[in-house]
Amino acid sequence: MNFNNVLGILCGKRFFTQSLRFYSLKHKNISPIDYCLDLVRKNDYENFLCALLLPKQTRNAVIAVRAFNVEVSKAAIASKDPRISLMRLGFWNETIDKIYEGNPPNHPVALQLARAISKHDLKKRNLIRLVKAREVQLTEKCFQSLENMEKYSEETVSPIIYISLEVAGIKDIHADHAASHVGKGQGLVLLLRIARSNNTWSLPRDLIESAGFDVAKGLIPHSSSTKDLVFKIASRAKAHIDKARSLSSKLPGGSSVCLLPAIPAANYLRRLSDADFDIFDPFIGERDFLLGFSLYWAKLSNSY
Amino acid sequence: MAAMKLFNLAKKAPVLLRPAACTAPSFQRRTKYVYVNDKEPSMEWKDITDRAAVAIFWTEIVRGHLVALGHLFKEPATINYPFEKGPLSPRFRGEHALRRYPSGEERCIACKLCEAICPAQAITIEAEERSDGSRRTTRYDIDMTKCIYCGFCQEACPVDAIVEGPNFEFSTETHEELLYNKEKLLSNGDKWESEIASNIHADHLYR
Repeated sequence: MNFNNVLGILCGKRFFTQSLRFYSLKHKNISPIDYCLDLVRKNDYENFLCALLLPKQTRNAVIAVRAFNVEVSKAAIASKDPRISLMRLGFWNETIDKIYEGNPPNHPVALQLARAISKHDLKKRNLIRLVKAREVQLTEKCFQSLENMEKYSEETVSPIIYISLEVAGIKDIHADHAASHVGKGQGLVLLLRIARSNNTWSLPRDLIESAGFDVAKGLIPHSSSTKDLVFKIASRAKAHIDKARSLSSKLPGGSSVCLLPAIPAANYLRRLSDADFDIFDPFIGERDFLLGFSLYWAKLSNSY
Repeated sequence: MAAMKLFNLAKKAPVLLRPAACTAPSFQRRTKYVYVNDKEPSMEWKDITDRAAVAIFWTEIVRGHLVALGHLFKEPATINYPFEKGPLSPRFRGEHALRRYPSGEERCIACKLCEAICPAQAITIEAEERSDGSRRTTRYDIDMTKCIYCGFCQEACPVDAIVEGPNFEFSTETHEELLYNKEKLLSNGDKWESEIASNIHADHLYR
């Protein structure tokens, strides 16, 4: 990735992405890491920007894990029939086993992940958690409670931040604590975003029922009880991010850049409160074109 | 009661008096006059049906012409099919294709999940290890006449290798041409790759 491409991605402008596409077409010999970068850029744009700002020696490993996460999350929504999704998740479970046996399947994400694992000696447990939590939640209609949502976020988002700390060589209890809170906050924000497509899968049953809705029928967009429901989840997410930020003075150097995913989550929460906690507001879902600059500023000012 | 009385009187009147009352054309019949009332329409069945038919058909003809005239100024509802095509959903399930990675390597790793899930048993796969140790298919056949286009193969594929692309124009003259082999599926993938790839896109994760 040369400077021009990084700048183009940070600006998020069409012109630069087109030039990037032209560049990628010219260089037909595409390596696994390019495939992973493209996959994360297309499916998980905000985390892609955060990963670009990581130090060079750790970036590839984190991108590999992010790409793995994209593949697993795509597998979970691949079909309406949970059995088909379970088959695909089973493939990724097997892939982890095979990678640790030293025999990765011929898939760019698996190859890049194998490279990252052998280079940084990543823990298997964190990768398994990404798949297992999705397998468990696959057959559910919705979460039982807000605490279950936090647990799901802890299982599906925090492990990636733990891995990026692990790759950066940071072993610090406060850093892990902050990572856990950032992961929970980011996960709750993601679940709120998913609720926009009007399914109750990503929301807790107790809050849905206390708001007077039916799990099978879903929410009523723009209604005040929906806003109350969103407010409860959003304020929990905000509390997690604030907690993580309050720990920033205790963190060792170099760990704040691993916690950058807190920024897009906090930005989303701010926009949500500006829109009066209406997740169905049309402007909420739009891409934040200044995100690249705010992330870069956060990196320079060593905050998150 | 008064009417009854009159009736009785007429009965009792002398018979001779009656013809005199009926005839008596003492005045000339007048022909030069203008009839100012509405002319009574003829109430013959034939005339009634004729009038009704004329009324119905004339108004219908005029209304029909007005509809035709209205359509002259409307946007056409049809499209000039082979040259223009209707919109397709990005999830449209058309002709199958086997995709490659951007590096040119085949995606399919012969896991046989598509073969297992196919409800019509239209997919046949044979696989063996290549010399470089990677597992690849030696045979990947789809009987397009068995396929029911349910899209399960695409959903089950963990590496997004087999997809149902946007092409729906692959009619042939013989049955044999619809028994696709691996070569045909891969060439479909090369042909439709840009369309297929642009259909797979999202801004954030959904699970």
